[in-house]
Amino acid sequence: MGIEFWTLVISVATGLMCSLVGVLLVANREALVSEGLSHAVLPGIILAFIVLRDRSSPLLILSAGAAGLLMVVLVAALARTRLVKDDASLGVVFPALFSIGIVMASTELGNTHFHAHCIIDGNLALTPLDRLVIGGTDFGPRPAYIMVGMLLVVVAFIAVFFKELKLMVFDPLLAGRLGFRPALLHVAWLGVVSLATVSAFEVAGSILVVALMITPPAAAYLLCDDLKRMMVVSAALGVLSAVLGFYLGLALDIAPTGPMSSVAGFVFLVVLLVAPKRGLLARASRRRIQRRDLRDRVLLLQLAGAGADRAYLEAHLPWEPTAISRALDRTVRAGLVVEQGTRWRLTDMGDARVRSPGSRA
Amino acid sequence: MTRASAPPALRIDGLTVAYESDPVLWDIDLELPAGCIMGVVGPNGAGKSTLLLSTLGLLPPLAGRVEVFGQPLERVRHRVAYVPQRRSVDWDFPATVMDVVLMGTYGRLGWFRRPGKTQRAEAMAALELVEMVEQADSQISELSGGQQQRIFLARAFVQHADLLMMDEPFAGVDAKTERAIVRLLHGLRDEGKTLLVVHHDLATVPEYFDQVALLNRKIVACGPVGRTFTDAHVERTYGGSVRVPVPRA
Repeated sequence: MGIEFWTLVISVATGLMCSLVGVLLVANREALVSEGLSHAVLPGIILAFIVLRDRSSPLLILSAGAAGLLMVVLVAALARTRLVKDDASLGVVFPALFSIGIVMASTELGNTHFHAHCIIDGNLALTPLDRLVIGGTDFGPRPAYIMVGMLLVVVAFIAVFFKELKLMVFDPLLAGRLGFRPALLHVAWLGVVSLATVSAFEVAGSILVVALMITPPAAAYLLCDDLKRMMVVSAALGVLSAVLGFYLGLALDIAPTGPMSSVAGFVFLVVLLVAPKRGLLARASRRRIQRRDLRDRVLLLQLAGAGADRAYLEAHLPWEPTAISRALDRTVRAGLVVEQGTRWRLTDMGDARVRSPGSRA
Repeated sequence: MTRASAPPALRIDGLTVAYESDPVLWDIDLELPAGCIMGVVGPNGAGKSTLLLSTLGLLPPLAGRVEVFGQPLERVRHRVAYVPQRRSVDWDFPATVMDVVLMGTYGRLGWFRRPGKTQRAEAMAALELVEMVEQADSQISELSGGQQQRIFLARAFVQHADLLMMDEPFAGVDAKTERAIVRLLHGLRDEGKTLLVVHHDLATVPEYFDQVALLNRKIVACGPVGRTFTDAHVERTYGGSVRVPVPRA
């Protein structure tokens, strides 16, 4: 099978895995942990490489995962002193670990392919060239197996611990009282997140991992009412971004990771605008309707009793004249107001409406 | 009453709790007979919430013992439910009302088992009690403060606990909802449940509770409302400026 096929497999596996992992991060308001992890794993990778001198060893991923967990533990310990706020302690710890990794890479590995731009950009275009060869047979690119394997680990972890993870994020106090060991589960979960991050890191680079982990869940959050549906929708958006990004990359003749993240960002933007309940457009139209109802009620109030003429209304309602006309049109059409010569007054129905405050015009 | 020989629902003996080196609760003794509803009142910073948390084993004490129905807490953990303050969780979390109430059944389910039909029926029954059936599928971020409080109550009900501890269940709740909740709590007591409620409105103490604990880092007085909730005790708890208010007509 060709390089394109394998690149597509890797893209979809990466997009799917990241979009699943990110749901719990977004729901737990710790989205930037992915940012931290995607950098803090570096010293783990470099250290393992210096020791082993083998870029394809699975120990690299474990060592990187350990560096990620180290970050999590340090951030939590620093925050617990209450001398540094949560977000600031993340901001202190992960760049520190990342910079240690950069120093190690620059001094020890100047001549290898661990260049800074590879760390930041990832290298999906080249990963299919890294083959898995066992006993002389070429089984395809090694990263494809790693990504699909990691995807299965993530899916299995979430499927097995779904109920426990949900409770841990929403109400850790109750989780603890019911015996579900939330602190331990959180560390185990972040361990899985760091393994996922480091395996995606090689493919997508440290910045785009964050895009793939946070953007689809953030869009899914605007579309869904519960965690399970958010997982499904986020996964779908992750796969969509991966596939569209792949073909966009193909068309532009560039590596697919950039297009994948751009597509994910574009999808988010569309969802932000048109999400049925929580989108910007839905919110704007809801507010417009509310404002209109409010104006109609205020107008009815002005007309209560003897009614009023146009001049009176314009003097008492500091609105655009067209807004007054529109409110009159609406209330006349609704049978709440009648026009009599130059004056408007309430119908019986309009009168009843004024007497029951709170109801809508 | 045949209960006289039964152990109290809650007995606290010499409980002292400190944050770092700052003692928040000092040598607390408290006894809550089974089948009663007790209010815990005291000024801000008196340690009311701390008392609940340490009684629940969520804050390790420096000294003291807690017994629930005559046994150490660890052995009867499942007989105790806790209704935390409303703002202790993130209401923007993606969950429906049903999801949150079902969490009360997780303890009985244990690891890995998911709630099924039985649990959903229980949750529905609890939602009926708190008059929230229509909102079962609503997203929790759409709820008012009173509704949030009521689903926390429903979540505690499905735990089938015999002792319920509540931290300010009336905070941020309108008067009508408050009365509905009180009726509910009295109904639970009449079924034989025991309730411990952190409360801040002195005016409603005689109406809401059978027992009262006046707390200001130490227990000033503790016992049946009629005997315990006196001017002298309230003065000692609040430092002299507050008197027992005349109960509302």
